[in-house]
Amino acid sequence: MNKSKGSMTRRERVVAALDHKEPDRVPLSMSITINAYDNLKHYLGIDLEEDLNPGRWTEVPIHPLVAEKFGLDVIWLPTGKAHKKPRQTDDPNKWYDGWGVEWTKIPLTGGGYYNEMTCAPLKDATIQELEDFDWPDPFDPGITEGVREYYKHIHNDTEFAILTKFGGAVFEQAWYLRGMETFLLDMVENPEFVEALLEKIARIQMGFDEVLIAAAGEYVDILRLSGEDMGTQENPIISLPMFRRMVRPHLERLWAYAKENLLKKNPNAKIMLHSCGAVSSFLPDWIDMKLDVLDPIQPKAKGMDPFELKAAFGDKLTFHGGIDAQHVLPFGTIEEVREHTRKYIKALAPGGGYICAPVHNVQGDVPPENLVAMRDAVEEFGYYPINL
Amino acid sequence: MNMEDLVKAVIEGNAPVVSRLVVQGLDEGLEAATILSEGLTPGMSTVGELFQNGEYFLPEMLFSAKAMAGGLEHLEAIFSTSDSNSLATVVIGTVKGDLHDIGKNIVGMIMKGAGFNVVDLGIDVPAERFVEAVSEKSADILALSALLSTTMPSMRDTIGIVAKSGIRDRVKILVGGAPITSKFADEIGADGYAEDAPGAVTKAKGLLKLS
Repeated sequence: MNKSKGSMTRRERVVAALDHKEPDRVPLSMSITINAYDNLKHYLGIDLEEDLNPGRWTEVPIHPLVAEKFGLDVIWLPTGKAHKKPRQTDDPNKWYDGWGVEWTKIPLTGGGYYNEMTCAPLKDATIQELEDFDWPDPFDPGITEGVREYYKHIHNDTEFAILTKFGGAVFEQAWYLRGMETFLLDMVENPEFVEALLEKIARIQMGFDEVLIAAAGEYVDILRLSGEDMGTQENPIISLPMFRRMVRPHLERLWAYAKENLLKKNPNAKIMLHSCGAVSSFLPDWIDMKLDVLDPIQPKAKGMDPFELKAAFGDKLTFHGGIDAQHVLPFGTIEEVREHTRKYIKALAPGGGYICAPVHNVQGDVPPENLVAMRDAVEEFGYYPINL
Repeated sequence: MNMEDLVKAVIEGNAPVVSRLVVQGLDEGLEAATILSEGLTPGMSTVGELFQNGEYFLPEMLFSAKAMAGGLEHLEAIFSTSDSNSLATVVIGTVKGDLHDIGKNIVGMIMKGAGFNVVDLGIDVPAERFVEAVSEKSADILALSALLSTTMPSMRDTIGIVAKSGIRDRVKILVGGAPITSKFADEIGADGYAEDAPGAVTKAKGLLKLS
């Protein structure tokens, strides 16, 4: 595999950024859905047959050859698949995940599909019924099958920094299981149910962290704790007092466990939280909970101005993301992508502590030219010292 | 029945008290329209303000909306379709290809609380269904919701089909959802955009020149 341009290896670049040191260049990271990935491979002239199994968000892992040709510094590696089959259906457009949540492939205008949640298995459950629910088993041997070998290979034989997710969300998984509207109502009118559900989910996620950190923790540079969207476009989903009272205790215990055990394996590893939306009011708490990296810094969400966030929290948090996926990447011109990337590098990169990435799994409506424009802008503006 | 108690109960999301007071009000001979306009609507209006001020969040808003809806059920049994007491009729739905509904549901609840007659078509609604409903219900407002950049084109297509069907000048089109902006709303020929549910009520009233 070829070395990247610049004076550092990809992994050195990422580790420096994570340590709030200025690397040679701002590192680049990305996650992508299957349609956008196929378009990108075609655009880059990469003829690579892959047996791809999109995840819940229709995302697929990026092959190291594609990551190298495109110019990523961070590669997101998958984990194993449980041996226990999830619930099955004859409907070719529906499937169930390991938690029993029903997903449906919804056709996209222009071709392809996007997975959407269509049935919450615990929508009518009582607190007593939680015990009898068919929960996923983190100790299923399939979860760690092949993980150590693959992560070791990528670590030893490539330059990439490795990002991964082991145990996942607690708050967000709760509303996948219950239905968002029902769960948010539960938070006011059924707090005992919420407590029981969050506690159960957190215990399972901790199990996933336990087995996977043991299997491959020493190769992980960034552990993405979960996708815990705590913000809408305009506001936090719940108030800070409600977060502190009902959600923080579960996340804090889980994050502390993950970080403590991960650092035993790789003392330089960092924990990252993905949380879409207007989440700036939660940041002091998340920093207090020893978070290292925040993703995705959604540009169009209220209160997420990158200059303000860097000034307020840049010494404590590394920022991962910033490249708008609601307008700039899908609908912007090449010049708009270039300018937007330049702005985020200017805001977030000084002093290190920034890894540039699209703010969400790249959707099928993003032209590959725009992804290349983002990458080219990182090449054009991202070398240190940043003077923009 | 003390109307201030009803307003307070809506704000607090106290469903049993809202229902009790609505029934009490009706038993005391109060007009259903009065209970709505002087009790439920001001209550939800305050909830909307609390939300916009960052004091209420989605859980609290849903809790109050649920209480309000419970009270409204008693009143809807009394409102006759021919003698509508509603401000105007709104047809609302999430556009074809988009399955997200919590934002749309909250807009619907808040608009009901404000006195609109709301016809909710649900999610993944084809344009033709919107056209049909606007015609059938003689809707004054068509409210379209989308959450994804990939379903925004569907919003544009829906407005195009509404225009082609010849009913465009009979209805005001309001759009909203996370990726939607007023610039996009203008581009696709919508009449208005609102960034949240209380804003949708204000915008709808403005478009229809209602106080």
